[in-house]
Amino acid sequence: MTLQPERQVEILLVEDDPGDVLMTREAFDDYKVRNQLHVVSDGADAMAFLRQEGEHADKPRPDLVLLDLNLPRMDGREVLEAIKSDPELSSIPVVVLTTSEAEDDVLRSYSLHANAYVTKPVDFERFIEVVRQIDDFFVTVVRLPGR
Amino acid sequence: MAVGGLRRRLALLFAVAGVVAALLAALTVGALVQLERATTDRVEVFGPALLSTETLFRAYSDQETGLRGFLLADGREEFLEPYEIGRASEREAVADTARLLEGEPGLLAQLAQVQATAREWHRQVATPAIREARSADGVSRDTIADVEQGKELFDAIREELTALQEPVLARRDGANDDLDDAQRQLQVVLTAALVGLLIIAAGTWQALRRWVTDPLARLGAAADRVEAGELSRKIEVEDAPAEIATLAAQVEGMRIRILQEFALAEQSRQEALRARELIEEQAEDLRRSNAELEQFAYVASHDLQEPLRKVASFCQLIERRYKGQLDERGEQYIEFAVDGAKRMQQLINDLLAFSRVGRSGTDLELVDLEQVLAQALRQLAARVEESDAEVTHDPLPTVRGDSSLLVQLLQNLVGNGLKFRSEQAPRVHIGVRRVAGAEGDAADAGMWEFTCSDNGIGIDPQYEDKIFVIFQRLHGRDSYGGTGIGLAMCKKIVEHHGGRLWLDAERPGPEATGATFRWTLPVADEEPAGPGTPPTSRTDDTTTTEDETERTADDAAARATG
Repeated sequence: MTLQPERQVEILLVEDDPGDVLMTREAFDDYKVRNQLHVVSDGADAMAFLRQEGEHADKPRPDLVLLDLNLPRMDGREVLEAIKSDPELSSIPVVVLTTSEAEDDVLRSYSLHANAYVTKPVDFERFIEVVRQIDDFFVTVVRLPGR
Repeated sequence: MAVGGLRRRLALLFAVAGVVAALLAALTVGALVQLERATTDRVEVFGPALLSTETLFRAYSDQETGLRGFLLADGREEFLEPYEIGRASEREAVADTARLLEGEPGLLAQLAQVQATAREWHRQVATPAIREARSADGVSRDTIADVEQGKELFDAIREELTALQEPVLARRDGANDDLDDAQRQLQVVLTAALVGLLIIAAGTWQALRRWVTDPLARLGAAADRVEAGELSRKIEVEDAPAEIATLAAQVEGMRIRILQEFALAEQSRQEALRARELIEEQAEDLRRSNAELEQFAYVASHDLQEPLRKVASFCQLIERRYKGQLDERGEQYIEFAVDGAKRMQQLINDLLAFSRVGRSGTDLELVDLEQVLAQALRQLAARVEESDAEVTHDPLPTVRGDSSLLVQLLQNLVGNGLKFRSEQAPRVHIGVRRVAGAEGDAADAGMWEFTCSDNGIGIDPQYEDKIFVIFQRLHGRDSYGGTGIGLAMCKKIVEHHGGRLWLDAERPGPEATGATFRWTLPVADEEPAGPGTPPTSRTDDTTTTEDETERTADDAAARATG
């Protein structure tokens, strides 16, 4: 499990809850992943970021999207659908963050084609573990497409 | 027509008809008698009487002629013979006439006059002349002269006889007229009788039609109308004899009774309809409240957990980032705060799981309970090993159900047996039998009845109702952990499968300890209905492998879906 020191991993977090943003930052900090965490707080902004429009024109293409479902303006389901139906973006792995296992089940029934579903745990220690798993799976083990 | 009883009317009708018929018969008999009498007069009395007077007339003529011949032949005896024949004929004719005219005294007197005159002729003329002619002197001129003189007397006979014949002839003609009259009368009477009988027949037919058949037909028509559905149409027969009016009234009574029954039936149908509407409304309310509950469960699972997650996570972050900067008390506070938040989440997850039983939408399929139990025991493996427990079970059948729910059921029940243990090593047994039809609760007949018995601390039967209530706990958290959802969940799972779950309050003996739960499950359709599984026990393999760990509700893992 080796990191690639020559470049940092670009991660887009789509999350409107500042607490969760802070917690995710803390978790990534603790795990000491060399990453650049970009944060947008709603779905429309996320699409603008991905398409490098407007103020996001000079932003890099993310290697991974962490997507919360409950967002203002354009919710996570719509964002996911937009990403997966856009040939330019559909290769970017998307991890959907959910609040409960029950919600997972409901979402799965929508067949939204997310790459993974992650339940946000109560326990911070576990959250760090989740971040580690995400990182291992999508950033390190799986060679990301497009690079 | 005055309305009277049919019996009385018919009696009157037949009495009148009888009297008329008798009258006609009497008239006919009278006519016949008259005819007979006229015929008798005509044929047996005056006709023959007229003939016999003619015979008598010829007899007298023969005598006179014979007497003259005898005298002209000078008294030769052989010439007297016509005279003798005339005499004989006279006697015979007189006798006949007298016999025929018997009962007619006037005519008989006339006949007697004729006879008297004839006797006088014999005495004065015939007898002396015959005597003279036979005498030696022979027939003299005088003798013949005497006879000539006697002609006057003989003419008298003839006149008298004619006088007799006239009334006889008249009577005979009268009898002829009588006969004609009688015949005509008989014809009239017979015609009258025929007409009378026809009138009686027609009257009887008319009366029967008017009194019996017409009212019955009207009654029948009224009944037909009712039968055809015009239930509110009154049945009545106007102008009918008492018996048929009574019959109509009885039929009308029947109709009214049927109408009442109909009204009652309609009423109960309306009530049933109203009751069904009410039930449907209630079902609709239930559906709505279920939907609301589902919504609530979602809200609870999502929105309530968000702030909770914040509390716990940031408490942990404080602990992590500021360890050493807090005193022991501060760290304990944080510990309690985190524990509370975690327990809260456990409760929410349990509640959510409870509310989702039977709503996941998965179909019931054939499930081998042997495999279900094995899986439940795998989940419990760590606790089984740790408590040195022994779990045994009867051979278990295949049932129709949701396998993950059934695993949870057995896991909870066996888990309770392990958790609420006494000082002894826990022993839990899962038993099964087929409920016979004749046993207590008919609803259970033919179902599988399972038991889960343990040797633990047991349950006081007075808490029987409480143990199945969600989050209801009989023990403090210090002695036994858990949120108190297990048995409520079990009950809901069993009921979702169409069975029932209850605490067996009867202890096998006074010293026996432990609790026994019983529950039923329907027999799967495909399964041949056997007399039940033999109650042989076997000990389950309770060894565990290292990778089998007890699942916890807040276990989270990233699950790749490809």
